[in-house]
Amino acid sequence: MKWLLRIVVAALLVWLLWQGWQRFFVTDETRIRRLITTMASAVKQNKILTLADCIAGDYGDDRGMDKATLLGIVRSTRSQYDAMFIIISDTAVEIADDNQKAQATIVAKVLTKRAGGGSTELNAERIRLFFRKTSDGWKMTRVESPELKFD
Amino acid sequence: MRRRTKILCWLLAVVAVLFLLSRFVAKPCVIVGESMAPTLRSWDLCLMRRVYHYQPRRGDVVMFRTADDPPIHFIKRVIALPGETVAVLNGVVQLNGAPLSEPHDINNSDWSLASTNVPPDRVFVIGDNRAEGGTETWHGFVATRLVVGKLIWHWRWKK
Repeated sequence: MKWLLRIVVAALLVWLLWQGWQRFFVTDETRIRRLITTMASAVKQNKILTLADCIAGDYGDDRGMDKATLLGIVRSTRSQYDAMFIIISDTAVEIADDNQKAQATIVAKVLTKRAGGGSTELNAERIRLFFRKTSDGWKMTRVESPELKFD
Repeated sequence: MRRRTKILCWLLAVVAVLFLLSRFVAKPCVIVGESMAPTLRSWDLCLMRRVYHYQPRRGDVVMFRTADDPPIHFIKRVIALPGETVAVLNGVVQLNGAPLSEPHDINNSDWSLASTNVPPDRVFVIGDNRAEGGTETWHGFVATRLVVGKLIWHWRWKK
């Protein structure tokens, strides 16, 4: 009984320390980087609910898609592939002065294998993601594919 | 113990030399996409010589970056040099009014470009894959300062 109590107290302490660490030492930039990783992982594993949880209800992008359309497209696109591997690199996060909005620019490299033993494809794209802080944490509100500049 | 330390030092030295070589001399990269087919295909392994002040030369296969950060890198072939006039008529590249002799049989009639002067400090680049009609192959003008590498060797490991 004494050992059980010690374990519970230790677990509680760990939990409190973790919460304190999250509260005081994890920056908004880290949270956004984690959110991007979570979204990439959700797309890779076809976890639409996890992805939906990362996106704001009023999402809208430069292709005219809302949240439901985006999730539908992700689901139908993902089903075309047997396997998908996403590498996120060159992440640059900018937090607005009021700490309520942020944007991140990333380079996403997507390696896919078509269903039914099809070909393997690799694509790279630079994407700009916009975020807003809500009571439930950071949520993605918009995605843009910025025009590439060569001059 | 002394032997282990020696091996570790050697390994560290090799890693450091490889890092410096890839950073300043020649960078290895893997091709993504078919825009440079048949010269380069997806998954080909390339070695790009680092270029710091690119001296444009027609026919060079170059790697260039986008101007803004984070950069994306592309590999294309230099077709027209600064000061030259380039046009594409029914898929045939015209250079200073004359058709450019190229080692490709395919001419994509969807490709067209009105006669344009290549501005100073720019080169006109396109991909070798003329069968493709997308913007991926068709490129355009690139500032020479954005050219970061020149193809020196490539290897096709995946047939």
